[in-house]
Amino acid sequence: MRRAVQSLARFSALVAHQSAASSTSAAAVQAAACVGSRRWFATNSHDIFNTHRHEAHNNWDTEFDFTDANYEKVAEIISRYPTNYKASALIPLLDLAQQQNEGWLSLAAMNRVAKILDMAEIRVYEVATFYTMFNRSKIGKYHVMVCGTTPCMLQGAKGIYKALKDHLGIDYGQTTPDGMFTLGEMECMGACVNAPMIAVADYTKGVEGFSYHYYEDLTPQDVISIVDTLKKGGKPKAGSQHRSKAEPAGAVVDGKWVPSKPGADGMTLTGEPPGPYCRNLDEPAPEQAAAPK
Amino acid sequence: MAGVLQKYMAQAMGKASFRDAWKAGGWKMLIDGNLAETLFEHGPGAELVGTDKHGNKYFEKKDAQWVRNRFVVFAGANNWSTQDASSVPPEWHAWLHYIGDYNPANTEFKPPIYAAEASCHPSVVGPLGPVSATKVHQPKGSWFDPDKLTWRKVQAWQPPQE
Amino acid sequence: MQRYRGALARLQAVGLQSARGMAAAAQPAPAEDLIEVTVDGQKVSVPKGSNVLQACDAAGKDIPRFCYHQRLSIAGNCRMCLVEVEKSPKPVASCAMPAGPGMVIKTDTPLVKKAREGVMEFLLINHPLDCPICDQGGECDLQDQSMVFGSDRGRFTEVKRAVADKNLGPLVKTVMTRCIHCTRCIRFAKEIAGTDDLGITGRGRDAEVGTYVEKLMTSELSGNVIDLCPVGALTSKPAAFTYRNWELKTTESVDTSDAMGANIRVDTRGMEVIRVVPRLNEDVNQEWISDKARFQYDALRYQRLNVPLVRGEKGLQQASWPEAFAAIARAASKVQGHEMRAVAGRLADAESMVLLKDLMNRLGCGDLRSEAGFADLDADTRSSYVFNSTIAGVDQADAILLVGCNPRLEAPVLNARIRAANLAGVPVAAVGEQYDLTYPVEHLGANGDALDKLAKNSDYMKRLKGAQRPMVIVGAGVLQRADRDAVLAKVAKLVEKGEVVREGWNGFNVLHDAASRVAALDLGFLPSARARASKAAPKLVYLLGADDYSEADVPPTAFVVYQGHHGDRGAARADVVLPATAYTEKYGTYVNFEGRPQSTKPAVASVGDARDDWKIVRALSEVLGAPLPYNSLDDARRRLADVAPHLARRDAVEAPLWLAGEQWKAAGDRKAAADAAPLASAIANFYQTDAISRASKVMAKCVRARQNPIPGLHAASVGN
Repeated sequence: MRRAVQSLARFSALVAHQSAASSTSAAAVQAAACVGSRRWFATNSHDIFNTHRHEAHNNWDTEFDFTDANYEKVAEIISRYPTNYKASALIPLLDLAQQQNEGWLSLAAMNRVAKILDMAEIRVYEVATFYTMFNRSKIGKYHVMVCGTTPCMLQGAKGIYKALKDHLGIDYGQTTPDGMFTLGEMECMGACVNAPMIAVADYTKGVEGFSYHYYEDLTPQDVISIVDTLKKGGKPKAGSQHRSKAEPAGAVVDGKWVPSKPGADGMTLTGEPPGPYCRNLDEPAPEQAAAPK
Repeated sequence: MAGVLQKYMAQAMGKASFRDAWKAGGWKMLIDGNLAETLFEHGPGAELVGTDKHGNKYFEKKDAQWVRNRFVVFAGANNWSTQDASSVPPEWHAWLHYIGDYNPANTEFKPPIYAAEASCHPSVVGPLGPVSATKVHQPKGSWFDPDKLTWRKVQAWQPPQE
Repeated sequence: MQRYRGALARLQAVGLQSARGMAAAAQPAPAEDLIEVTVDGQKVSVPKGSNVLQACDAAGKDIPRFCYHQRLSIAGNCRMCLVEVEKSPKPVASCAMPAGPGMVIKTDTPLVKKAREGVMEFLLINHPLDCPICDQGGECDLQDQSMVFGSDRGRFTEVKRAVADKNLGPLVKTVMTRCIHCTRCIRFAKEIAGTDDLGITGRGRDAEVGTYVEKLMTSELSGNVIDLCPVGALTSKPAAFTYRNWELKTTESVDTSDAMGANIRVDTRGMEVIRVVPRLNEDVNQEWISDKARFQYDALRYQRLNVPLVRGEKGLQQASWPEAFAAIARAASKVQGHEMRAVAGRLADAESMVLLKDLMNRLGCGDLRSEAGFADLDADTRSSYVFNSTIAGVDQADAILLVGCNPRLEAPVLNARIRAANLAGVPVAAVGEQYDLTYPVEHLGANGDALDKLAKNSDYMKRLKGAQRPMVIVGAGVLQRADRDAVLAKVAKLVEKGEVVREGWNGFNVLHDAASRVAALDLGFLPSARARASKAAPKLVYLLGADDYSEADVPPTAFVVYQGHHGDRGAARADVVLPATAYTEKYGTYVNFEGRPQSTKPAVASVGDARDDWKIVRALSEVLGAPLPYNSLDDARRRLADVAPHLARRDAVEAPLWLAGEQWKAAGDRKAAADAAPLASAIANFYQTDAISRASKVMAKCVRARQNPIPGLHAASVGN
C-alpha cells in the first residue's frame, strides 16, 4: 500500500516536473544563462555573498568616479551634516553612486565613497552589505521588486510573481539575457492599502533620470503590460492602476480588479462585511433598554 | 503462519523487495525491530549503492529525509551476532555517515596499509618480522622506516661548503 | 571556568580601569569619586563611571562574557553578561550598563541563569560542534561557559549556517563558522592595532566577520586577535593542529625580538617550543606582543648550531669543545691583547657580556663594541641612552615628538600605547622620514635642519613648552648615523628649550632596537679610549652572536670566533663556531630600553652540545690563561651587580639622573656637521631583524605576504 502511494507520488512529481520543463524549457535555458542565482533562505538582497569576489568587471582595477555634476550633489549632501560627522553622508552617497553606476555598487564605487568621506573602506562595505537596497553585483536596467509581505501576499503577490516569472523567464535574483530586467523581492514598502504592488527602480537614465516608482493595485495582466511598456521605453502609469489614490473604489480579488458596488459610498469593502458586527454605540444597549426604570 | 504473512506482505510491499527482505532477514524480522525497520521501512525503493568486502550491502534512498537516507544491511542480517557495525570498512563508514559523498564502490581510495595486515604478508621482512618498512605507515621518527628516522626535532645549520 | 577565573583574577590584579586609566587607578580614588552598589547582598565601592560588570568583578562575582574586554570599547553584543538589577523589568547586559549609586545587582538568581542559558542556546545555534578538531579546545571561553550555561540539546532544527573562511595572512588561521560575532577582533584592529581592515558584513544570520575583500591583516600586532578570540574562529596558523593546551608546560620568560622586553609565556611540549603568548605586565607590554615575538619561535628548530665547528681545509668541520678551544687558544697566542676585538650581538645577554668584557680586559683588550651599534657613543650618563619616561609614562604624556624613529617597527607594542594616547587626544609629531604609524602624525621636517627650525621659537616649540608632560623619542637610527653628535646636539637644544625635562618628569627618551643594547651600554661594553684612537685592524675578533657587524669591524684577515645559536652571516665567516643557547633555553638578563632588567628562563633544553653563553666564556677564559672567578650563574649576576648595581633590581626601573644635560655638552663640543639625509628608522624589515627571525620560515612567509598585501590588487589574472 505504502509503496503504491509512494510510487504514485513519485510518478505525479515526475509528470509535473516534465510538463513544467517542457512548457518553460526556453525560460529554463534563459534562466541558466542569467546572472546570479537565487539563494534558498530569506533575504531580499540581490547579492549572494557578503564578501567580494573579483570579477572581470569588478575588481581592484575597475575605476569609478563621480561626474562633475554629481560632485556638486556630493558636496551638497555632505554639507547637510556636521563636518566632524562626515560619515553620516555615507548612505546618501552610496545611493548616488549606485544611481550613477547603473544600479550597482562596484568595489571602486565603495572605495571612492570611503575616500570622499575619509573613512576606512571596511566601514563602507559594512553598510553596503547591510542594506539590501544596495546592489553589489551587476543588475539589469530596471530593478523590479515584488512586495512579498503579508498584505500583498493576501491580495495576490504570488500571482504577480508568477506572471513576472513566466513573462520575463527569470526568477528572483536573476536578470533577463538582454540585461533589461532584474527581478527581486522586497519586504513591505508601505503601500499595503493598494496591495498588491511592485516597485521599479529605473537605472536607464543615470542620476538625473533616476526614478523609483510604485505600481499598485496590480493584476497579473497589469504587471505584464507595465513591464512591456518599460521594455518599449514607455512610461507606465505610476501608482494605483485602477483608482486615483486610495479611495474605496474597489480591490484586487483573485487577480482581478473588483470595483466597489455602486452606492456603497464610504465603504472600503467590496460587499457587506460578514458578522459578527460591532455594536452601534448610538443605540442603547439592549440590556440597558430593558432595565427597569 | 509464515506463508500467510509472506503472502500478505508480498502483496503490500511488492514481491521482489519482500522476497529480498525475507531472504535477508527471515522470521527474525518479527522479533528484531531494527532489522524490520531497515528492511521494510527503508528497503523498498532504496537503491543498492554497493557491497563491501564483507558482503554488507549499502543502500541509498534519495527521497528520504536527509541524514536518514543511507543505510546498511549487514551481510549476516538474519543472525544478530553477525550484525557487526565494526565490519563497515572506513571508506563505507565515511559514505554512510555523510563524511563524504564519494561512492566507495566506484572511487579509487589510496589504500592504507596497516602493520597488522602487512605482517601477514610473507614476502616482506622487516626489523620486527615480516613487515615492509616502506609500505607500512609509520609515524615520524619511527625506527621501522629509515626515511621517517631522519626526521629531527631540530635542524642543524650546515656550514657553506668550500 | 578555570581560564575565565584566571582572567578575572588578572582583571582584579590590574584594577578596574581601562588601559589609559591604569596609572590613575594606581592611587586610590578619592571618596567622592566612589559609588556604592550592592552585589548579591554585598556592598562594594567602585569608581564613578564603572559599569555593572566591573562592580560585579570588584565584588568577586563571576560574570561570564564574550564581547567585553577591559582594553577594548564596549560592544554589548554577546549578551552573556546578563544580570538582574532591582527595579529593572528585564535582565540587563552588565557590560553596557553604567553602575549607579545604590544599585542592587543580583548575579545568581534563577532569572539570571535562565537568561544566560537562553543566550548560550542562541550562541550555539550556529556554532559547529567541532571542538575535537578545534585548536581552541580546552581553553575556549565558549566551551567553558557552556559547561555552566549550556544545554545538552538544542531546540534548533534547521540547518546550521556555514561561513567561508577568510585569508588574513600567514599568521592568523580563520574558521569563520565558529565565529560568535563578539567583534573583539574588529575592535582590536580598529582601536589598538590601528589597521581598520576587519568588519562585519551582511546582516542577520548572514553576518560575517571579515575584510570583505581578501587582504592581509597588515598589523604588527595581528597575532593578538588569537588571544582575544573567545572561540576557535581565530587561531594560530603556524601552530595549527600541533598541540592541545593541556599538554603544554609553561615557562614565564621575556621576549628578545625587540628592545621592549615584552613579557611572554613560552609553552613547550618535550623539547619543542609550541607557542609563545604574552604575559600581563602593565608597565611593559600590557597584554600584547608583536607578531615577531609571537611567531618567530619556529626558528628555534632551524639553522641551529649544535656542535662546535672549526675551520679546516674543507671549511668548517665538526669538532669537540676541547678542539675548538684549542684552536682559539692557538690563534690567541699569536696576537697581542690590543689586537683583539669583541662584538656583542643583538641577542647577547648581560651575563655573557660582562664576562666577555672581563675576559677581554684581562687579556689586555679594550676594543668592545656592539653590532650595528655606536662604538663611539659616550655612555657615561645613563639618562642619555634610555627611555627615561618609561613605557607606562606614555599614558601620562600630553605631547609626543618622534625623532627619526618608527615605533611601529621598532617596538610595535609601544606604538599601540602611543596610539592609545593619540586617540585620547595627545598630539604626535615627527621629525624624520615619514612612516605610516597607524595614527595621524604631524610631520615637522625630515632632517637635522628641521630640528634647528623647531628649536627656534617655532609654533611647535610653544606647544611643547606648554605641555605638562612632553615626550621626545629619539630612534636608534639616529644614534647609528655618522653625524650622530650633530643631530644629538640639536636634539639637546630642543630638549633644553622645550623644557622636556622638568621636576618630576624626564621626557627625553631613546628607543633602542636591539634587546642587548641597553645592557651593553650599562655595562660599558664600549671601546676604551685607546681602542677608539687606534686605527689598527684587529687580528682576532670575537663575535658574541653578532651577525649584523659592519665589514670594517671584522677585517678579512682576522681570526674570527663566533659564539651563538643560529647559523647566519657570523657563523659563515667564523673560523671557530661555539654553539650557545637561544633565549628560550637559558637564564639571561636582558635590559629593555627603559633600563628594566628582566630575565629569560629556560623553557626547553639546549640543542646538542650547545652551552650557556656565560659558561662558554668562563670555560674559554681557562684556556686563554686568564681564568675568570665566576663559577655559577649567581657569581655572574653578582659581577653584573658590581658593574651596574641597578641590574640587581630585577623587573624594576631605576630612574637615572639627568645631570642637567651635561652629557650633551661633550657631544656639542665635537662640532660635527649634520648630514642633510632624512632621519630614518633603524629597521626597514620588521619581520627579519636578527639571527632568530631570519631563520624563521613563518617570518619569511610574512615578508612575502607583505610584498603583496592585497591579493588580486592588479587583477590581470582575474577570470570571467
